[in-house]
Amino acid sequence: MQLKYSNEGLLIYAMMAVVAVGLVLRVIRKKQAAVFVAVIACLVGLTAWIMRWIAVEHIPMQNMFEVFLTLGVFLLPVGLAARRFTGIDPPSDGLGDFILTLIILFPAGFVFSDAPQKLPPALQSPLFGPHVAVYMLSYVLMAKAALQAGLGLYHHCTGCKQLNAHSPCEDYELSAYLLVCLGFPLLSLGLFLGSVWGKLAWGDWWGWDPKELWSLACWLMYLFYFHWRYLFRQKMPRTNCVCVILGLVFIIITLLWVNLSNVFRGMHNYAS
Amino acid sequence: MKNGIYHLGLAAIAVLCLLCIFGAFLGAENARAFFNSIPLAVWWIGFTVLLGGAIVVFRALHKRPMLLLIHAGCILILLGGLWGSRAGQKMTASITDKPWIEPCYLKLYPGRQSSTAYRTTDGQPLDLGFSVGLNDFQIHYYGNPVTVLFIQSDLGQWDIPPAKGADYLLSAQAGKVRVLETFSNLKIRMENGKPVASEGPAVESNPAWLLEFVSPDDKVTQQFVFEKFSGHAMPGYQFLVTPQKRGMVRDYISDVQVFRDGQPVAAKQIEVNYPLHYAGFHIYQDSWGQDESGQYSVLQVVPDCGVRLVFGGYFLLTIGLSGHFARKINSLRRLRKCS
Ligand code: HEM
Repeated sequence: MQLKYSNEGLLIYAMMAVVAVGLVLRVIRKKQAAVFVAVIACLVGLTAWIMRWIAVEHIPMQNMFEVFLTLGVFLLPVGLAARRFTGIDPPSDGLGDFILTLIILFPAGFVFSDAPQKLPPALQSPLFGPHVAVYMLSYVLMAKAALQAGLGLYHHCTGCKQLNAHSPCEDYELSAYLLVCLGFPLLSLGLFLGSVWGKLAWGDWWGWDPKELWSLACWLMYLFYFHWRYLFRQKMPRTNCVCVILGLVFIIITLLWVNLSNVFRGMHNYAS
Repeated sequence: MKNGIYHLGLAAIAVLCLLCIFGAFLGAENARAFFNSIPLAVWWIGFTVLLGGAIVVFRALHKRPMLLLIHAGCILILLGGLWGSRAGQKMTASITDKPWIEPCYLKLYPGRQSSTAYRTTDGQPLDLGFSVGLNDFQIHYYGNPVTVLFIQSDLGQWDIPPAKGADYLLSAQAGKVRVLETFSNLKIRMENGKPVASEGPAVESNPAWLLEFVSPDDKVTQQFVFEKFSGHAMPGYQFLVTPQKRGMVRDYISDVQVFRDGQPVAAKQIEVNYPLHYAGFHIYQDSWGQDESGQYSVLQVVPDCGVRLVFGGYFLLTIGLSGHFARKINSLRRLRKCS
């Protein structure tokens, strides 16, 4: 736990407060007001993000603090775009965006160090921005998908089936599927750009590094999900939902592996 | 039969996922050995064959272009990976009867060239068949680096500031050191048979330092340190002292030329992220160092076997996935609107 009194830190807290207001408005179903407040929150966050960019003189996606800041700032607009794209709009999705933003901004505000770092030579690549940005975009979509999948599990009831109507579980399951359909090509593009960058910077497109292997495990998890879902369609909505949630669990492990690996002593990773 | 293949594919994806997680706990070096071991080689080939079989067996996979791109892209990546692996390269070399050059590194001082590289795995010398010359090597820093005098001996390593002044205690065993004198153009002349150091004319430059070491038993020795002759040593010198720059490195750049049969055939300023590509090899800026003969650049030479296949495969895969899922999202959206 560490409070930040820098301008960026204070703006993050301000953004979190505004998002919390938006969340309350959304809960009491003042939809218009919630959208207005979301716009303000994003502007506050964007200011922090741009200030960070200027301060460190590179796109702020280098360390954990910057990654979580970027994820938090862009989650709401990405969520809105994803809703437009996929046509899903259960009320939970808009509400979920507020909650996810708060969850993601928390470590940026209170956990990770915001000490500025210079880019070492390996990171000075035109692929740095696109590679990380594409990954983060897909992570946001996968997080939203996992939330829908979680709701699907929560609302699962065997009785609804007999009524021969849309069960809420199926609805959530479909929303999760649509979001993963959007996120998966981006996840693959991220892998592609990472491989090209690895080849240019280190001489190999695949290095068997734990972080790489975890990111491949994520990709394979979603691949399994698609093939599984193709086989059983929506006959097993709960299993489908579990796959999507497992996918996000793997993503979180991938993101935090450098930190988690301190738990498993003697492990190699990029940071060491 | 079709069902069986699909189930096998599903299981294979799950197994591969579990293997990746297992590999992540091994660390990079062990994971590389594990995924290149013979049982895993069989696994990779089996997986590739399974994918190929799936494309043949399932109508959708060869009739629907996007699904074909996806699965064929995966096959290309796997083939490229197999070809680029150590075993794959060894096999290609034995089939094509060309010498097999594994990843290796070159250590080059500015102004010199070499056709001998050292294998990354065990340091064995290899003949590249071409030679690489280093015209110039530069290190750029963020801001201004500080110069220090880097002192090495069996007892340890220390940095001291290169300015005349106070004593520095190195350690209880190594004793103390002091910069006695600094010179911007050191000249040594003989006076009564003894060497005497003094400043020469300012037009030339030969920066140097005179250090005085005091050992724990109060034995005093003096050492000269030259910026331009960093390997300078005399009998009785206890320490290796080299002036070095300390700072956060922004870039390091090797100006490199490749020669074959004495003729220049390629040239590039190699930096991290910008390798030189020549005759099936990528030449990378790897690192640098400094020893008695001065500063040197370390270049890495890596054959490019299979890389085009892999990136071609990735490209098809990404296009296929985007097309496939864009259509999917669109049709599901429409379906939902109707219901
Ligand atoms: C290894 C054995 C594999 C088999 C037997 C297999 C087989 C199939 C089959 C039969 C389909 C259904 C096609 C249709 O929609 O009618 C399919 C879909 C698909 N496959 Fe594979 N596949 C395999 C591996 C892979 C791999 C490695 C990838 C990696 C990209 C992949 C990606 C996909 C995708 C994205 C779909 C579309 C899923 C959907 O529409 O929901 N498959 N696969």
